[in-house]
Amino acid sequence: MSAATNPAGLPPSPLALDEVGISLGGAAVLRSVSLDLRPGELLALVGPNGSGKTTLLRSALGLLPVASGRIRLLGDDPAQLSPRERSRRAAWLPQEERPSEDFSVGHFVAMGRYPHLGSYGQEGEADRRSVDRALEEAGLTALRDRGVLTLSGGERQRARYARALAQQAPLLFLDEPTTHLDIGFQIELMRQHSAFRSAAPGRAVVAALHDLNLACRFADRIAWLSHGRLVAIGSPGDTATAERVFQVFGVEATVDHRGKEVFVLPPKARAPPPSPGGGRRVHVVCGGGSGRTILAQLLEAGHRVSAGALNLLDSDQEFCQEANIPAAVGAPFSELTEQVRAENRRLSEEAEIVVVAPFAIGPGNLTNLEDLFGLPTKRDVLLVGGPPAPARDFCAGRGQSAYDRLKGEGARELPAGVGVLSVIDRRSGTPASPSADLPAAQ
Amino acid sequence: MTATGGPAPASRHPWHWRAALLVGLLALALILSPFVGPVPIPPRDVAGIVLEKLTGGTYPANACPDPVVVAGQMVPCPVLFVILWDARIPELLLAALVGAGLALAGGTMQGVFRNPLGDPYLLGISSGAALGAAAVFVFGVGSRTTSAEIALPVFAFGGAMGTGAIVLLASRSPRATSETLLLTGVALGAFFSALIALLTTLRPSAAALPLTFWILGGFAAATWTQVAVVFAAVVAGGALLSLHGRDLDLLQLGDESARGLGSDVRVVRERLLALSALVTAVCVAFSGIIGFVGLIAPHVVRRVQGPSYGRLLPVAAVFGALFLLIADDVADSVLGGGGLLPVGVVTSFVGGPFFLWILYRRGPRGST
Repeated sequence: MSAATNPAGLPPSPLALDEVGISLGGAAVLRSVSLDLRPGELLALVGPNGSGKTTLLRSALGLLPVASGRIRLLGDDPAQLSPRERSRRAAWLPQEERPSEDFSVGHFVAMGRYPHLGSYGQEGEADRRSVDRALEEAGLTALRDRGVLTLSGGERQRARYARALAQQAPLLFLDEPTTHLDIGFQIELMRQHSAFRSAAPGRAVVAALHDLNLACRFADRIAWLSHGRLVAIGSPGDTATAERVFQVFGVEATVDHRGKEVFVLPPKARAPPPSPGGGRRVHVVCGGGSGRTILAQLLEAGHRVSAGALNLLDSDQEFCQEANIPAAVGAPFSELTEQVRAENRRLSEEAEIVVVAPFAIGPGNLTNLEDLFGLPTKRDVLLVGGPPAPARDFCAGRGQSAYDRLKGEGARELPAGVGVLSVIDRRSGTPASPSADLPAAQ
Repeated sequence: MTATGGPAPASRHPWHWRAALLVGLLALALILSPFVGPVPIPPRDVAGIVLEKLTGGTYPANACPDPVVVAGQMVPCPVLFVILWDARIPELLLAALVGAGLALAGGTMQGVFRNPLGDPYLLGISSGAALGAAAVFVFGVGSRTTSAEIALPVFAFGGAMGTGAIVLLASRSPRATSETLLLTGVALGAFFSALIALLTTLRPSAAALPLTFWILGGFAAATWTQVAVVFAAVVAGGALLSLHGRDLDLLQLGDESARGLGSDVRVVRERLLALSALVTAVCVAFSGIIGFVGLIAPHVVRRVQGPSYGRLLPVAAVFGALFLLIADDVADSVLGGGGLLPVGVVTSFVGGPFFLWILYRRGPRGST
């Protein structure tokens, strides 16, 4: 049985995942993930909380039962290896570690020798030498007699790194190693971790990182995880794009490629926090201030919103600009051009739910309703605020008939007083099954 | 004020010396303890009787050159011999062994549960033992025969081990965490206490007083057989526990980190719990429930020489032996002696303030 499915001549992958699926408590946390770690690389796992980064690392160590697919850690199924053998292959630094005893740094680092000792074996000269070397490499020789609990966060992380070095495993798995550290320590630590892989042939590092800039700066490749799926894997230059950041994190970021370097900047205005369950994609057709409240409520609830089609200087358009909401925007005080209408249609098609705000219907924006024709058969279309009062229809009944046609196609009308959020919120997390549990509003 | 600013928990050399000092103190206490008791036995007689016994001479050929007078009455040499060889020496040896055993078990519990409040009775073992003892007193098992001496330790051991087994079985449940195990012990303890109270009310006159004294603990009834049994359990258990020092160290990092270093956390925890339950049950069976030694001995040693369990456990065992030996001597010499004062009272009475002094002497440390 060959260790990996590589063509002959290439070194075998130190860690290979083949269509791995993992469930925890009945919920799938990793779905059909395949990846091959390359010898000598630093692979960053990137994704929002709950996307499966830690699960991937733990399963690679054989600490979690695999529901489907297979994992090879240096050629073997990690779940079949003895705990000590596993630890001789990969060192694992989980995110949280709070020692309950104030061990000296030297003793703490010497614990890395555990997998090399027999059940009751005593440390020998070779073990001591390897501890000394690890302390020196991590710059901790002077702190060897200090208690680990008296160290700063950065020093303690370094002590853990030294312990992993003493473990002398070719692979190093890290879970958010830079959490709670200031930027100086973050960079120093990442330098050490990336030095680890090149210090000897056949080494590699897999690190779950929450900081995209650290990932882009230090990783050879980035694996982008979202809801337990691997959505992309590749070099930062190839895979770090604004679209990907939005796809994975739901955040509109600016991604700046300068030569080989990649910078990810957070959006200028405060972006809506992504909701824990992942928000819905909602498009709001509005204008004249009719959409402000709806947009704000959706943002607050963690949904990903867009708006259209709006004229520049419209109060809804200004709000979208402030809140960094993507919107189809045309020239001020004029009819919407075909180009803007196309953009608006695209945003509507892209959304799971289209909300029609109770805007005043004039000749300039009647197309906003007409462009939705046909959509209710494919998407949820919610009409807010009841039927348009004659006071809102400035098109001699054409607004009213557009509304009637949309309703005829399956758009749902929210009774006056029913907030958009109460309908969308209740449905969040479930796949869009058209109007299944909308309140019947005739 | 040290230059480094932080306390160095375990400098590499002096621990041998501290351990040697403790062992020396224990030896001294063992040598001096035979003189403690209501009947003052002269040093020459003590030496003579011990030598006589150890060299296999016939009793009491040339021992007791000095006559001993207590309350105007001369105590003949054969009586001295019995007092010393069949009562005092087993008593002090048993005290030292039980002290060592409880310190070992307490240190292990603190390590397994990462909890400074850990003591040998954490899993409800003491209540199980007391239930066994209560059964003996209430139902008068063996009371009309000489087998009462055997029934009491056997029942106490059975109660203790039974409780330990229940908790260990519970620990195999997939839902068991350290917290649920602790709470299982607490719940069992409460349940057994209720059973004990219920049993006692059946025959209060026969059971209440002896049970109270048994629970407070003591070594007055020590025999050489008991010494041999406890010696075997404490030495074998202690050696095995100390050999697991590195496993205990790893557990202090948390389960996930321990696994990352190659520890089979579940197996290790189960083995350590079973071993310390066994040692505790043997100690409790012959001595009753002596509190505080198992709690404070590991803490004192941890504070003096750092938290590495491979050293902590054996040194704590020596400290526990010394502490309980002295406590027993104190119990034997106050209130006119005669073992009227249960040793458990002394351990808590002396141990409480001593422990507080140790705790606050150096200010707060990370481990507690």
